[in-house]
Amino acid sequence: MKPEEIKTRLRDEMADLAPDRLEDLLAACDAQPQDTAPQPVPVPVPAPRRPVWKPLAAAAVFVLLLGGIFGYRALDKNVCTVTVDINPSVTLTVNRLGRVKAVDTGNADAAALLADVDLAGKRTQDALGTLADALTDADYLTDADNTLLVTVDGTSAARAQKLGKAVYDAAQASAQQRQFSAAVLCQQAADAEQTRTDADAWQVSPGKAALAETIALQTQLDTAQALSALPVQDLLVLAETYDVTFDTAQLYGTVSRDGYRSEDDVRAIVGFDAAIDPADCTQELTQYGGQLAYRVRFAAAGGEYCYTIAARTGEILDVQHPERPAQAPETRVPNTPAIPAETTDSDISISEALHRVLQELGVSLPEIRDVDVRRVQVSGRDAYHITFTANGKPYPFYVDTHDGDIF
Amino acid sequence: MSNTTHPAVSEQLLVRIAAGDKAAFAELYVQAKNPVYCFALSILRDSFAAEDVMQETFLQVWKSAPTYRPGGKNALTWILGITKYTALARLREGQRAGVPLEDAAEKADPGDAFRDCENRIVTQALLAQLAQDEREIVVLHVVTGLKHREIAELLEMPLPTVLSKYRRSLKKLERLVREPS
Repeated sequence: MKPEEIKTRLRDEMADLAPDRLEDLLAACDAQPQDTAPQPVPVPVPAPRRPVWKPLAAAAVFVLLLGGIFGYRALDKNVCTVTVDINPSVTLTVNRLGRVKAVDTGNADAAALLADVDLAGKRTQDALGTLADALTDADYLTDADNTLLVTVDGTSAARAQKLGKAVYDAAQASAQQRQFSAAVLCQQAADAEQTRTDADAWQVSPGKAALAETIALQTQLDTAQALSALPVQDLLVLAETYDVTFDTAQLYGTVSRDGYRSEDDVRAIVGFDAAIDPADCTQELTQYGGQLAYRVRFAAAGGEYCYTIAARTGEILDVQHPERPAQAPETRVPNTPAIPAETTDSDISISEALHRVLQELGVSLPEIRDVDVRRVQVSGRDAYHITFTANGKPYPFYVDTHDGDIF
Repeated sequence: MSNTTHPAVSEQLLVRIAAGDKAAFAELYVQAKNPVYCFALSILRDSFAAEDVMQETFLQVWKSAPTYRPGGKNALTWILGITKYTALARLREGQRAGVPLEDAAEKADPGDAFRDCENRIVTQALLAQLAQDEREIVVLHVVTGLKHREIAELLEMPLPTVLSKYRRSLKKLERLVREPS
């Protein structure tokens, strides 16, 4: 079962567990006087301390935000703006009749993307379809980076939802032609002056700034500014991983994880580099230097280790490990056998076994994916059963745990 | 990303209960009894004890509602705070009976955990195999719908600790359900 399935199952199993003893309770209340207290105070209308967007949980497609103009000051009361963020940022100004009145490109990538395309005057759905096709053609929208962030400003929640769904339909139609599925997170812009100020300072769209603020507030992994440097795909993977909740956003589709190394892969990379078996390591997703990264911690002989691994590429970005003190010969107690340089354990480690297999195959660690290692018995021999894919092909190996023989 | 299982409990209900409104109290009970019960169960791992704690919680809510100060928050968090202290007091009673506090819940036989458990394999795994704080965090987030920040405040833990324990607990459950032996 995957974590999402576990959560759904647990929620269903415990959905209606409590017995109903209201009658007993009411009877007990009759015998129980309430505390004396001042008159209850009416619930004050909470003033937002810091305007923060609360997009509904739609890991939506990365909407192409044209122009990145959030909080567009509509001259026509009937217009609203639909901003699509994926990397290019495109904002469409749409009137009530469902026509695109204006198109703003928020950055050079968006301008280049739409250099030969004119979306103004088109019906909204047609414009979104053209935009989605442009994104997929230019490989901004792919099976690995399949999400768009849509931010709708200047209209009702119902209309915002319709527009978000329209973006999703367009993106999904384009994606399915290339045999993958898109996802869209559609959020409604709130009147958040602070968010706009932050967005300008951080040089991102207000929609993305709001998303980063929400994730930073709920996870405290890093500052919102640091998180805003991540691509939208990475932000939504973080949000999913840490169960970030959104109050006014809708997710359509599923955020792809195809572009990221799995936790097993990361564990294997760390184990190989540290030449130990990090069986009890803890892993958490975080941001490091503007990219999504795994932070892997474990204890081994010598102390605490901490690796930072790029989530997409598996590159080791940072390592902290204890210094191994030099063993001076005179410290050895006389008449005590010298401790050999290598362990005398009868079993080789998992990382050593993997190292031998990779040498045998002539591939390097960053080239392999979906690593799985299990301890098995084969014809009376204790062995590691190592499987992985390399260059799209699956490879199984058995390695004797005692002598490292590959059979 | 998730939508919460239970919507936030309105503070207005508590305001009405403070004025002696039994209908509001009944409405609150319907809304909040399952989160309260499941949270108590996660602490005590005993369905009968959890039921008693649930009743005591609501009785305390009835009694203390006039002292509640609305602050624009989710009233369920306040109620679950009462559940926590009531359940821990129950554990201490076991301590006075000779069972150490930290062991009282751990020693409870998960087979007594609840009555109809044949098909609730994830719940069984949670109650039988996770540590107390892990059970509490998972139930508070997955079942009652509290946000991690609210859980951190309720359990008086740092938020990063809550997040990492939550993640580890789900992985444990995944492993336990996959390999029940």
